[in-house]
Amino acid sequence: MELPSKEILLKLYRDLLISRRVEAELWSKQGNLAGSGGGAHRGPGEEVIPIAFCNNLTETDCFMPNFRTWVCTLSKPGFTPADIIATSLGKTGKRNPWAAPEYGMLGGGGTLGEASVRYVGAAVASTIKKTGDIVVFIQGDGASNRAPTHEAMAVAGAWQLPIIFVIQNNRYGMGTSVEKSYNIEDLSLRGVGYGFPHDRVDGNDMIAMYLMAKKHVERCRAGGGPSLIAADTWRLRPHFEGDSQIYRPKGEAEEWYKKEPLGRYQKELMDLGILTEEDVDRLEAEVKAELQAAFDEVDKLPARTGVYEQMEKLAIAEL
Amino acid sequence: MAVINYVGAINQALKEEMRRDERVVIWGEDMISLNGVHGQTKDIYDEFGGDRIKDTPICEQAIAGMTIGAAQRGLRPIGVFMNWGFGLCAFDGVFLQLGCKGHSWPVVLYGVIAGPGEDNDHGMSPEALLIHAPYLKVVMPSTPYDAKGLLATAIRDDGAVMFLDHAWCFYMGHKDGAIERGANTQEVPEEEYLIPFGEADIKREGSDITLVTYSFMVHPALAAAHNLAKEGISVEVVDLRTIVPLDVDAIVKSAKKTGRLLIVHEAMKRGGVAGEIAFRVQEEAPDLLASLKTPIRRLAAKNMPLMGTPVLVPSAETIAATVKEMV
Repeated sequence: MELPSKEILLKLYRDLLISRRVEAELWSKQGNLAGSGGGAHRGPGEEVIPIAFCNNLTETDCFMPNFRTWVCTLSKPGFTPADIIATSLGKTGKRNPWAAPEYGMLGGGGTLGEASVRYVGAAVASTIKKTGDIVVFIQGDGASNRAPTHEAMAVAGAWQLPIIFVIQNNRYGMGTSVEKSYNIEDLSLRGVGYGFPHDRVDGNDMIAMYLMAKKHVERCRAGGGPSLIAADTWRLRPHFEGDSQIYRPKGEAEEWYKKEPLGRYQKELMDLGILTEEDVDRLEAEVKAELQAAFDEVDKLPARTGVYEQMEKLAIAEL
Repeated sequence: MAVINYVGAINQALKEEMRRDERVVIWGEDMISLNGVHGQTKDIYDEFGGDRIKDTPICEQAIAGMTIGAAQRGLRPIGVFMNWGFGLCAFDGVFLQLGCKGHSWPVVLYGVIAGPGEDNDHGMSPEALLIHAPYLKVVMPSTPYDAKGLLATAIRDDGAVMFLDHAWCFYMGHKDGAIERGANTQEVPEEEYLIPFGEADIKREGSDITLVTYSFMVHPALAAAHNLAKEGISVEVVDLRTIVPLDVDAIVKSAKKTGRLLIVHEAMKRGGVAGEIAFRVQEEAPDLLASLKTPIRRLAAKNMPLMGTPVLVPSAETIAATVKEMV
């Protein structure tokens, strides 16, 4: 397959680098990432999948990042690191990736799998309103077993909706391994019963993931209907920070960390002659400066207030 | 003005609102293939086409959940549960998503209570479960005129509205003190009109006792009132029309007038909305209890699953008997 252009390859690298760095910075600043659920669900090591898709989407396409890798939404057209930082730090005045429906970000909730039907609804709206927007819905191996996911795929298939289902298989659903939860090893087989073209891909291989995303997105945009991708990755962190991980073989995460995708992609680009050591250092410094500027910008923004009051006003507070 | 039946009124409201606003769409099981089973969606596909009305697979969680994504992207969807019992399959979407987060999504979830002749899956009346959510409005009409005006209001509402029809209102009504097939018809204006939420309707004025009820139970209540009048007991029947928001003022005003309050619903007694209503009126009108001649009572179904026979739920006879115990 033809390699993406140097420009794209470098943007993908930069997106991965800045996602990794901003996530770590936010975690160190506050020990919790706003919007990622109770007890931070950190996702370093799984960034390739959402970044590869965001680099194939428009500002109005609908996108669901897995909750663990939500910071990678910064790579979707129309989003910036400042949006992620502001949302995480509870500031107002920037785009909230959890609630920006006009930019395709519809949010989700704790009942994983439920968002799948919400995003199918967005795909239905796209066909009725003829906007041309497509939907990319990513969720983990755990969530992909839930009932609403199956209804979502059934409806998407029956109505040939413009939606790509992505299983971000990081091998664990909280404390339960994928081996305990499935009787298939290749999760792309989940597409068979729904009549979807389906592919399995190494979700930690940036070039392969980008090209796979591109193939499915182009097919979807051309009216090809729904499809499914199972992308293999590794969950480097616990399910939530503070999780005892007694379910996990000792040393497993450390072994996986040696193969983590930022180092791997960096080496690949150096082998391709697209990055030199100097480029790596320069980009690291550029990203650091960009993030500093973004944090400074967000620092000046007002805190988000009045959320409770607003929700109370809209509730039917009395019977 | 034409005299139409309940399903005809629903059909009129749907067409009127879909003509008025192209963002209104409707989906559910057998909406096209069987006209919504009872005829609610008759001729809608012919007039509006497949972008506005859709037959889904059997998928209640998708029927509910899709409405959220579609609303977020600019549509005003109506998701339909063939029976409201089936809507419980979608309780995540209904309660957790729409009920606890759906404060700004213009969604209607419409469903039919099949009635006490069926099992719970088909026939249960789930309003007690729905009123517990902060963001759900709960609408339960009893007559064709109310159904049309309330459904129009529901579709124009910018929040999440749960619309609960009762199949017995489609096929039966009250006439001369009895329940009679085909009797739930009335004059309904062809032009549009809106009935606001939170406004109860006095279906029958009276002076001896206030009978608060809603949905199909309005009909046996009116039948009982008709018969009790012959015995010199004057019953005021207050049709709530919407459970959330609740017209507390109407209940209090009537109860202060008559001095007696009886709440009747088809759903089971334990955890049923009668308990909430009885406490709510006391909170809002602390002088009410002292003004009553007898304690507030409720009449509801036994705490038993529906088994296909109606004897578990209130009837004109048991309503009348309870009234007589109170006056």
